[in-house]
Amino acid sequence: MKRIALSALLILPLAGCGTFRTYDAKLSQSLDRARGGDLDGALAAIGRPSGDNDLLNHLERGELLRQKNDLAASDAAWRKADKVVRRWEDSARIAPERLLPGLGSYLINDKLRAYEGADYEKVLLSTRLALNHLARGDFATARVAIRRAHERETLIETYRAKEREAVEAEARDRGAKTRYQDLGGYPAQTLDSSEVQALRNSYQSAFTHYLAGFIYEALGEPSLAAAGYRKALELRPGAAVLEDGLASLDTRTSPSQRGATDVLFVIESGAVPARESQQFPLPVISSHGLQYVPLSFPVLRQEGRDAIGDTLRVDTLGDLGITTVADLDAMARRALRDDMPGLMLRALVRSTVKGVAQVQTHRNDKYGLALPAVALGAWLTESADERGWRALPGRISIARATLAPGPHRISLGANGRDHPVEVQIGGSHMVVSLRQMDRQLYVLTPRISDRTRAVSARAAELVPCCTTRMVLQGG
Amino acid sequence: MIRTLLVLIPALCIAGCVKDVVRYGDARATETVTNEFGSTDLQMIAGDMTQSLLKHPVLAGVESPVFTVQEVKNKTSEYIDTRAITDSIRSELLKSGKVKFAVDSAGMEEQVDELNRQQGELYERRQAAKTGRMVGADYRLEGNISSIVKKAEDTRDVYYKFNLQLWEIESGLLAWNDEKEIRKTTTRE
Repeated sequence: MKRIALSALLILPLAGCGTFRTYDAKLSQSLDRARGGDLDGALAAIGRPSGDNDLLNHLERGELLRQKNDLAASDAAWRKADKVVRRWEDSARIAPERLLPGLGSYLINDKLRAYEGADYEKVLLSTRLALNHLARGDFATARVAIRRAHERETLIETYRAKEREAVEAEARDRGAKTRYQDLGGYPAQTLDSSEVQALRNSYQSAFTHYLAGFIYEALGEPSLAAAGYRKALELRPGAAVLEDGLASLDTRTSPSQRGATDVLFVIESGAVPARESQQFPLPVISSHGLQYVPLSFPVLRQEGRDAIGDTLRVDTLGDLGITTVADLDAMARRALRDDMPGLMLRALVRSTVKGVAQVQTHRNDKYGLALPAVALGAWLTESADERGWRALPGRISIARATLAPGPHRISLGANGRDHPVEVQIGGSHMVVSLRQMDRQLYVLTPRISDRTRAVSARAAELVPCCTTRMVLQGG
Repeated sequence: MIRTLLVLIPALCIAGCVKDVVRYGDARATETVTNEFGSTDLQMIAGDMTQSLLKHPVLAGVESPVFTVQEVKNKTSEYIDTRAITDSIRSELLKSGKVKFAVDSAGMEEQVDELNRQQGELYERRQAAKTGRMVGADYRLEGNISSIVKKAEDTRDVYYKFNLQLWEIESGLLAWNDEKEIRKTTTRE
């Protein structure tokens, strides 16, 4: 009896560490401050990383630092995150069996597993590192980052196929139900929408590949650019800007020869959905017949307001259509949809282990003290993992135009009004980033010095400028 | 439960003691890690195209013809750096001693920049490169690579076709043309 009580006492503190500190509460506070324009406050709310392996902290800080235009610090945070992801890649490539769910996740909850990042987060990490380099006009280093993104996709595809087989085999052996539609009351429609089902998978986006095409084209590598544009079109068929990217690649003369700059506008809006832990009854076949065990699973909660219109007005060109090329909201839903069989299987094993512990405790508990503690521990530790990279935008859109070097006024339609921004254009190729976070609009462009205002085929000496921040009116 | 723990904990310790070992391998060994375009495909294409060109009468008729390399178009959805293929071909042809290469369009800007730089007063006039003396190419190499991908439940089949052409610049005639086909199949066993 003493041993059982001691075990119960050990479980409770261990459970408390992972259960009561919700990631959702911490991030919601941070993102509320970012949406109010207080990026320093948002960073303070996230706090410092617990160590070099604190992947999620590095991801969130990197994103907020990017909006603050502290690109050096953003790069530093994301490089640490990249090291963590590369360790995962090494294991997935060489010894995928090492990536089995940890002992803790079967006994307590998924929160005890070291956060390895959703697949789309791993790919977007490389993509956003590339965007940071492009904000400095450094296409050569952006190439390294974007190449890692599409190599990462290839590895993920191979690893996840093996993981899926392993989960299906284990579920068959245990006779476990792994369809989330079987969970009574689970909002299956959030994972079954047409946007989610239309995705090829959770981690590939037309944006990453189109950006790759743009970078390779800027560096004079048309064979690689063609692959990027083609892949983007396969992932988002029918989008005119993607079709034009590929179709006119051969005929598009170097902008420097025309005395102009090829500008890619990247417009980001909304937010990825948050995960919330909720309990649902999981049907389990036991020696007593069909039973329903209440277990916790993540449910997605819509976050952020998407106020962006569908055109970008450029002073010398008029209205440019904006095309959505990455729906991160749908990708996050697809990631959860693909994860649900594994989540349900682990939850089932957890419930079986905990059920055995409770039965054993009940048999040996003469005084009725240990069983309540064990039962309480089991209840407290039953909580789904709510972690995810929440500072990402919900939607990424693009527009592309050729502009003469010098100052230009662009207007983004949002909340029914136009919001003009002045940008400096120069070099042969350039990326202008606009990020809407609720009523804040952050604009990130390289600074063009007088010396580089003239178009050059080698876009040297571009340095990041201040981020322009403006408050969206109307709405 | 305690028995389960007694089995799992040593297993985890053993797993934690495993470390990665790095070794150098043979750069020419056949690589079949995945069925995407890889190093062996690049080497096969470059090797076969070079041998085919070296045996063709076009090189027998002219002493040290001058080639320039133009773009080999990538018509696949894979990120294939076709310049790596043409670089290997150029390297092998140069080693044969039978062909010379003129600067291609991708390198023209650096070529012109360097020529212009040497016209400055910092350079010894006698030793500096003179403008107006670049050699034009007699032939241009261009081509394309395409693929057909088929997937069934346990099988993925990829077929590549690499086509390379040698065009005589002055006449516009096709002097040589060859292609290399590669098929790679992955099955789950």
